[in-house]
Amino acid sequence: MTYQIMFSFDSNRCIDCKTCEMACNAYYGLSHVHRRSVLSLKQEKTGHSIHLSMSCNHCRNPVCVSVCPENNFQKRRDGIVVHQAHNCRACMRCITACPFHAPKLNPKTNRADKCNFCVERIDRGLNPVCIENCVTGALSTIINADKQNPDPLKNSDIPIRRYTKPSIFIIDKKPGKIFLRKDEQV
Amino acid sequence: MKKTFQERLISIPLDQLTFIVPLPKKLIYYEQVLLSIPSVWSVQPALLFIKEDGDIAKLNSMDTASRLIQDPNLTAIVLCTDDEVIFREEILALFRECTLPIIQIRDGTLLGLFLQTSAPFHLYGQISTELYQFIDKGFIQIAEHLAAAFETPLLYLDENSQLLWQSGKENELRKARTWVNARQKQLAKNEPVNAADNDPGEPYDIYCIHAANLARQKLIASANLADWQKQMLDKLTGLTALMLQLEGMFQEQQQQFQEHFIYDLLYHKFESHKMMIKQGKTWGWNLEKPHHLLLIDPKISGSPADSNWMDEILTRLETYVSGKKEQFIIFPFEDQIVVLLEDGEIRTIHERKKFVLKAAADLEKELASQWRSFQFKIGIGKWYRETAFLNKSYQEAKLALRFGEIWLEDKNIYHIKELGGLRLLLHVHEEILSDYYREYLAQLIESDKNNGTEYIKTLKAYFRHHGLINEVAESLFVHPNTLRNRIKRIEEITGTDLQNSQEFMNLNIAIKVHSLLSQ
Repeated sequence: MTYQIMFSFDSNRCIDCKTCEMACNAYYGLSHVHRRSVLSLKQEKTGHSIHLSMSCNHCRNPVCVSVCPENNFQKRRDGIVVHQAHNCRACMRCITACPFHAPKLNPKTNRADKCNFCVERIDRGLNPVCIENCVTGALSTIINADKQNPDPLKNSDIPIRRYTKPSIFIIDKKPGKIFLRKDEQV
Repeated sequence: MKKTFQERLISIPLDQLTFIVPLPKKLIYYEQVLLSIPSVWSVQPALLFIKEDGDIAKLNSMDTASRLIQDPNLTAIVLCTDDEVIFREEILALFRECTLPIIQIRDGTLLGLFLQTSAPFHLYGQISTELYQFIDKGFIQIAEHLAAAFETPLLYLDENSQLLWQSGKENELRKARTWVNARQKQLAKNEPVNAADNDPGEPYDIYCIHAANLARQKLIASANLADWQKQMLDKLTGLTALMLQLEGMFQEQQQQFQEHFIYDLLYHKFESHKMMIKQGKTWGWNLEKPHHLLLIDPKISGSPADSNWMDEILTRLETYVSGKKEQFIIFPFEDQIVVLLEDGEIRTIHERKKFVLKAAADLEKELASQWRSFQFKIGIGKWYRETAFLNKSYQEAKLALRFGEIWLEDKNIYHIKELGGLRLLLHVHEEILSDYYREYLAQLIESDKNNGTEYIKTLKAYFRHHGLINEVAESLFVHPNTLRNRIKRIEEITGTDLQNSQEFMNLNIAIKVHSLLSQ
C-alpha cells in the first residue's frame, strides 16, 4: 500500500529562527544554496504576518517530473520526490517550473539540488534534520494514507499555488487572545 | 545456564519483531535478564528487557546510552512497547557502532520466553495465531523489514521465475537479478523443496512457497546469512505459503504486487527498460512498444446508487476494448482510470494525435452512454518513444485534465498539446499573473460585483465560441443584440477592440489567467 509522507507546519509556532535552514545546510554541507527557506508573508484576509518554512513539498502531481528531459525525478512509494542528480545537465527547467522554487542550482556541483526529505534518515526511522532541529516544534511529519488524496491545504488561507497538489499541511495562524481584567464599578 | 538470544527470537511471531539496531550474525548468549536499566555493570552476560515508558525514554539519553555500551556483559536490549520508539540519531549510531542490538516487541507476555531456562520449542498450535497476525500485517511489510535488518536482497518470483516484487539495496538487487536471469531455466526445472536443498556454492538461496495447487513461487535471498536468519526467512516463506492457501489471500497479494508495479510505472523511471518490460509481462502487458497514456476522471453528480461503480466501469471498459483491434491496458489508480494505448512509430505526429483523440472520444462516448449521471473527463499526456517515460506522460495527462477543465470548458477530452502556450502560464509567478489580469479586467470584475453585470461570464463565453455572436448569445440565453451591447460596453470599459486580433488575444489570456487564479 502506498502512502504520502508530508511536512506539517504550524505557523503559530514558527519564530523565524531559521534553525531548520541552517540544520539542513550543515547536515548536507551546503553553501550558497538553501534547500529550505523561511519566508515571511502577510495573509490577505486576516492581515497577520506569518513565517512559513518551505522546501520541496513532494507534490502529488510534481511538475518537475514532467519538465525534466532526463526523467531524473522519481516519486517513491512513500510519496517522497527524489532527484537523481548524476544525470542532471543543469538545464534549469525544473528550477524555473517549480512553483515553490524547490529545486535550485548548486553552484558547487552545477546540478539541480532539492530537499529529499532526508530519505536516508527516513529509511532508518528518523525524522528529517529540519524537523529534528526545529526548536519550537513548528515542523513535523504526518502520513496521509488516504487513497482519496484529500487536499491538505483545504482549510488553509496561505497564498501558495496548489495546482501541483503540494503535500504540505499548514496550520494557519490563529489570532492571539488577550484577557483584560474588567475594573469593578465602585 | 547460557541461553541463545537468536534462538528465542525465532519463536517470536515475525509481525512482532522490529530490529531497531540489527543483530550481528554470530550468536549472542546471556545468562540473566535485567528488567530495568542497571546502575552498575552486570556480573554475568545479561539481556536487558524493558517495558516501562520511563526506562525507554532514559535509553534515549546520551548518559544512559554511553553507560550501557560500556557494560561488557550487556549483550542485547529488548524493548516491549506498542508505540513507535524513535531514537535520537547519535544514540542510534552509538548502539550501532558498539553492536549492541536493540529489538522491539509488542507483547509483554513474551518475557517468559527469554526467562525460561530450557531451549524454546516452537509449538505448531501457535501457528494459527501467528498466521492471523502475519496476514494482518502483510507479507510485504514484514519482508521489507527483514531485508533491511539482514542486509539481504529479497526477490519474490512467480511460477515462471518472473519478478513480482523485490526489496533491498539497489546494487544488491541488481546482482541478484543478474543471478536469477542467468538461471531462469534451472529455476523452472530444478526447484529445491526447501532451503536445505540449496547448492552451497551459489551466492543466493531459494526458498520455495508452495500454495497448494495455486502457485509454486520462490523467494530469493543471499546465501551469506547466519543459520538463525535463514530459519527466520524459512518461517517467512512457510507463513506466506499458508496464507496463500486461501485463494482470496493469494489474489490479494497478487493485487498488491500489481499495485506496486503500477505505482512504479507511473511515478518511477525504471532503471532498466528491459526489466520494466519483463515485469509488465507478468501482468500480461506488452510494454515493448510505445504507448499513449489516457487518464479518465469519472465525476459523479449526486451520490451513485451503487458503491461498486469503479469496478463496473472497469469491467465495461475491458469488455469494450476486447473487441477492438488496438491494444489497450486498463487499470484503476487513485480513483481515476489509466488507459495505455499501444501506438507504434509508423504514424506521423498529426496522425498520432488524431488516433489517440479518436480512441479517447470512443471511450468517453461508450462510458457516457452507460452512466448518464457521470461526467467522464479524459486527460492525455504526450507520446514517448520509450515506455520508461510513461511517468512523464502521466503527469502531463494530469495537467491536461486539471487545466483543460478550466480553459477548455466545452470539452471533455484534453490533450496536453492542446493547452499549447497556456502551459507556460503555469510557470509564471502568481503575482505577475495577477497584475496582468487586473490590468485588463479589474473594472469589469468590480462592475460584476457591484452592479450584477455579467461581463466576465460574457467574455468567457465569447472566447469559448470564438466570437460567434449567435452561438455566444444562445449559450448565455440572451438576445444577440443584448450581447452586442454588452460587448460594446466591455470594449469601452477595457479600452480594447475585440475585432483586433492582438487585443482579442490579450483579453483572452487575461480571462484564462483569471480563471486559473480563481480556482
